[in-house]
Amino acid sequence: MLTYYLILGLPPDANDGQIRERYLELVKRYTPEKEPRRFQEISEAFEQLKNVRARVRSRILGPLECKDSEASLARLARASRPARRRVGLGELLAYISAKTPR
Amino acid sequence: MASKKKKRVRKNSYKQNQAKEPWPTIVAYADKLLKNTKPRQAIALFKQALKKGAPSQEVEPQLFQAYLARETQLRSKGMASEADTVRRQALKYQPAAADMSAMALLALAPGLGVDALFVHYLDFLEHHPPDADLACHVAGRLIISRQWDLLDRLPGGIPLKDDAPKAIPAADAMHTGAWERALEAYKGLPRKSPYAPASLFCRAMCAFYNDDDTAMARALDMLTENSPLYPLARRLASVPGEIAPLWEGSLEAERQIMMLKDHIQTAKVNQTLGWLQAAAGALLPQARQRALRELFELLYPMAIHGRLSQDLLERLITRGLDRETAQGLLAKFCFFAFQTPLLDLARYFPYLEKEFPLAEETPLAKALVILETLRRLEEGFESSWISHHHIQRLRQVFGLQADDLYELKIELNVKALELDPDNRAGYERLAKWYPVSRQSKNLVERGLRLMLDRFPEDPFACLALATLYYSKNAFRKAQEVLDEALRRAPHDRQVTERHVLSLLISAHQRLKRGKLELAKQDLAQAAQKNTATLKFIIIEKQLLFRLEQQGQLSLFDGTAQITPQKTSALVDQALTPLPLFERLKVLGYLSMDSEPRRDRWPREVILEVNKMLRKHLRQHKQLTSSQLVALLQRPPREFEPLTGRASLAPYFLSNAKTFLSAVDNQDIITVLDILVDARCFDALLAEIRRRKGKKRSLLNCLLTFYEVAVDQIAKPGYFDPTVFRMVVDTADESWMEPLRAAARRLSNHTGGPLKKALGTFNFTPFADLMPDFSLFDDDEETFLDDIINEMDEDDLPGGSMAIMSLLSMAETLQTVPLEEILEDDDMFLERIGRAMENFMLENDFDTIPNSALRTLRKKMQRSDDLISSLLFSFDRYLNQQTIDHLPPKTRLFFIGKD
Repeated sequence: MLTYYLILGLPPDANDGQIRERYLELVKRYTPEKEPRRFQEISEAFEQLKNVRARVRSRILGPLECKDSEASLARLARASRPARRRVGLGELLAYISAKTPR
Repeated sequence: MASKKKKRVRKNSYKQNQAKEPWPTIVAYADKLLKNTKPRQAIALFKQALKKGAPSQEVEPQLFQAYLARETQLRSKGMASEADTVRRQALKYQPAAADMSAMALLALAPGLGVDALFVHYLDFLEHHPPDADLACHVAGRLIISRQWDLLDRLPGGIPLKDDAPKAIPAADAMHTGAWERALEAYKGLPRKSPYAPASLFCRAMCAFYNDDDTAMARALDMLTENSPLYPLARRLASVPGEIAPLWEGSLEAERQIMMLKDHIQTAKVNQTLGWLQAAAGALLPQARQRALRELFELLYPMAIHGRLSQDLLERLITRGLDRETAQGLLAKFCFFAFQTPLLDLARYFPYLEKEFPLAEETPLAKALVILETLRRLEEGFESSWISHHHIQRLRQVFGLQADDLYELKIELNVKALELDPDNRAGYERLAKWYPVSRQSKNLVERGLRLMLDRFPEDPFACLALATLYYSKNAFRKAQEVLDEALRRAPHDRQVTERHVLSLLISAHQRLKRGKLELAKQDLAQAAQKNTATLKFIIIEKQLLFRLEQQGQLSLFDGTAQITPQKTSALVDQALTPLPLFERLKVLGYLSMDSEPRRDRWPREVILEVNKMLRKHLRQHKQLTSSQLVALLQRPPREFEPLTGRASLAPYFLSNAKTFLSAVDNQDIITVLDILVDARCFDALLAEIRRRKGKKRSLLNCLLTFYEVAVDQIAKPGYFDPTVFRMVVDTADESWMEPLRAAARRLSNHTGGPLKKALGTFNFTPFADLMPDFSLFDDDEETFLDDIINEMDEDDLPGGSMAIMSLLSMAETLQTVPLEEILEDDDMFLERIGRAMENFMLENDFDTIPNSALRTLRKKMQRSDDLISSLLFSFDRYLNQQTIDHLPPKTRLFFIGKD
């Protein structure tokens, strides 16, 4: 369940309106033609969270319907990653140089 | 000691031998060492060669390289000041530009500034042809520094200068983080260009921002050591998560979760708990308990599939979560396991308020849990068992009135709908029940009326209510709701059909009461609607009407009697346009309808109807196997006011002895289920014996299983588990699932120990020693009530996983010393005690007389199965305090003393 919130980049107390708004924003960015895998992930997360009934169902029956703990944990780990930050070559080299012992 | 001395002696003698060698040999050997990345030994030998008179112009460049290689070695080990010292020594041997090799300059280059590097490079080019590796390095340095003016000093025709127009805008984009633009700028660059590694690096970074870690790693792997981007590439390839500038936040949660995933099966409790808590804190710092709970839920499938000890999971839960949350989660897992569904529901239900504290969520959660229980019960969920105690517990928790399990389920269904009146699936489930008592019919009516209001456009509730009103003989009310259904959905095919059915029901009732003219009107209206699916029943009712009419006329004019000839003429005329399948349905129902008319119709007419059925049945082999199955099946529920619940199977089977032999093997099991339901045991057993072969196959195994089961179902109160064990023990592992499913279906048609054994697919000695009295026997109710009233009401974690918990804990005790377990988990012994109590409750052993318990214990101890030996191993470990706290029957069963 937490995985779905992380995929949509929302806190676990997000309401129906926030969830829908975020979903529409993400599917515009990750279209099925350009980012099919990501689109599917986002759509699946939305289906599980789209209204209070779906959220309750997911929280109660989710563990029962999940067959593979390892895959679920890997998915949660991936979803928990923060967003990737744009960084230039100079900044990267400066960071590595600062971390290298002298 | 002796070997160390030998080594030193050997080394010294080796050195002495070497010292005797001429300098060319020493130089050659040193060169080999340098190539084998042993620069320290190479340096010593080069120096020795110089001492032996080797020409300095030949050896010093190599010595210079060896020192630089040693410097690189020391820097890679983090020994920076030592590396600087070695570099200073190296510079003493720096050859002139003309003698400097590409390799030597490459080794020197990292320590030089870009300007100095370029000077050396230009010198190199004056005396040597361009070197690709060196050019790559210089190109990389230019990308980093962007000092493109240095290129003016180079002559033309050198790739380093010629490819620069692409590299310059690319480098600018790389420095601003516009990696895609940089990659685009590098397009068309020759593969052997000195700027190619930079292009590869851009490709890697583009893959990174595309979330494609595999493509990134692949691109980074292609960079070689001579590129100045190589150290950065290595860091990116190995641990991108540790390069903080690449991320908006911390990767701590990911790290901890991956540690958990990769090591949980082998790690100790404390370590695992540490990862869990760290991951939870990183995921939801403001709601750690919630995150921890979710992590435990993700681990649940691992425990179920045996990849993680259930006992370990339980320990982690009780240590990681606060008491109430831990108990709630364990109750939820028991609910999932569904071993004792009603008890598990009763235990989990009270925790839902805490799990779903929001006002809009709580009733939905409660309704869902109830409906999910009902759904799984109706689907005959594997291994579930229900006892009187469970029913009582459920009644207490939900405030239910019904005593009977079936009625209880109906009451629960309605409770769920009162909690969540918009739950359409709940109404669909409600409509599937067959309420018997007035109370339960009223309940179903109440539930369906709720749907009428909540779903004003949906005809479903109207149709379901019509079925219910027919069962109450409330025909007018049925008609009213069907009219409402027509108003709501005038073009719905199902609604139209139900309307036709209601006309037929009305006609049927009127025919029974002898009101022929009114029945005729109903039949005429029904025939006008032209519903293909109901054509056969319309024709059958029309025939019935004609036969009844013939009978009435004969009373008036005393001439025309309803005769066999007239009967066969009427029937033939009606059946002629119909295909065989439809004809047989008509005749089947006509036979069924003729039976209650035995006192009014002449015997010859009844016989003629049967004769016609037999005549048409002779052609039954023209039908497909699925059509034969369809003929045997019970009519749809909506037909019951017309046909009752009985199937036509007895009529067909008694009039066509070879009927079943025409059914294909792939359909036979379905047919057997139909015949069990219709109580046609003789025909069923005869067919099994005819069809069963000697070859080992799933079909033959199933047929044998049915034979054994039906043999016992046909004898109420009889139960012999040994014959079942013979079938199950000789079956292939791959046949178990179909056997279990068959057993579950068969359990619906029997009661007592046989029902339990079939329902749980357990034919072990337990079943032998179950009490003789039926747990649903009214005479025993008082006795059971007394016992139940004395029971402890506290919720006990572990729940219906008690047997699995016990076995898991017993296995733990076999492999880990008790003292070690208690260090990690000081409540371990108490948990064993609670699991023992649960075990007794869930198997109703607390209701068995002491003498039976003693006998059961002895029998189990004498058997050589692992489960028994584990269950009775606890007395070695429990301390006196824990034993004293056990209830007497629990103590008697597990320890042997009451």
